[in-house]
Amino acid sequence: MLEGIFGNRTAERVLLHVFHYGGIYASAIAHDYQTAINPMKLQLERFENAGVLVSKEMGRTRVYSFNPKSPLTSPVIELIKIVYESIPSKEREQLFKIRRRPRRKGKPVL
Amino acid sequence: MKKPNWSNCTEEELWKYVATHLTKNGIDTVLVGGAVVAIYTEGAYRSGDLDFVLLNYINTKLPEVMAEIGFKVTHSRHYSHPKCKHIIIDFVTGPPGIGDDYKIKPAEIKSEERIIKIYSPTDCIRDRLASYIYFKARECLEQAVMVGKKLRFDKTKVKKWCTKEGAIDAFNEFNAALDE
Repeated sequence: MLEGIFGNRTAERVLLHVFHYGGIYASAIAHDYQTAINPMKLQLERFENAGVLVSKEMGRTRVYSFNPKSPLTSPVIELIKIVYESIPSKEREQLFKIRRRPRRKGKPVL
Repeated sequence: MKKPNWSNCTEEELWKYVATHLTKNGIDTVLVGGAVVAIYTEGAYRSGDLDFVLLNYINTKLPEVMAEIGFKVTHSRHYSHPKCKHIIIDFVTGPPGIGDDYKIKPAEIKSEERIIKIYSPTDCIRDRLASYIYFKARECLEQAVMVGKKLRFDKTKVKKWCTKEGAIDAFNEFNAALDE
């Protein structure tokens, strides 16, 4: 949907994942879409250079999230929100099926 | 303009030198981030980098203008000088903004008959508090306090902005630290 605005599908996928999970890393997005990591990494870096995303290293992983300090971020989030909410819930479950929110170690997933 | 002493110049000396050179070449910038704290606290805090926001929309000659004063691109948008090992220069994407507020009016300083721009003390404090509020970076709260103790600023504006961000607790913490 946003392919025409952002220029490619990867950009849309990256932003949808950041929107859904709050913070995300390249290999997770690549895993969820069963695709290569490098295009995801490059796209995340592009959004960081544009000021829309920020990143920090956690262990050996670089985690990206929206940059609330940039005035460009809110409008981008608004756009993503429209796309996100227009995705049928069944498909949304499919796209974001992996739980990444905090979960006590050892607690089973039912 | 006289070249700074590359090996031990301060953020302020380097900022004035680079920003004036850029302005002379038609490139308008505003200094943001930690270097503003370094300048306003007269070196009590050292940032190690200068974050410039470009105010021009069309910038095709930046690398060549920076090269004229010895700076080369090292990584993406970062510039470094071979003799200046302690400060790097970063051109961050504009517009200058603090959260949703992008109508920032920078402070203007005259340098070599040119006007160079920097966040005002009030916006510097809001910028540091933004990092504290959004990224939980406690050192940025301390930097806001350092500037607030040193310079006059618009406390009402800071309070209003924190309230709008839903972070009145951060303002109260900042305000209490000013009195310590």
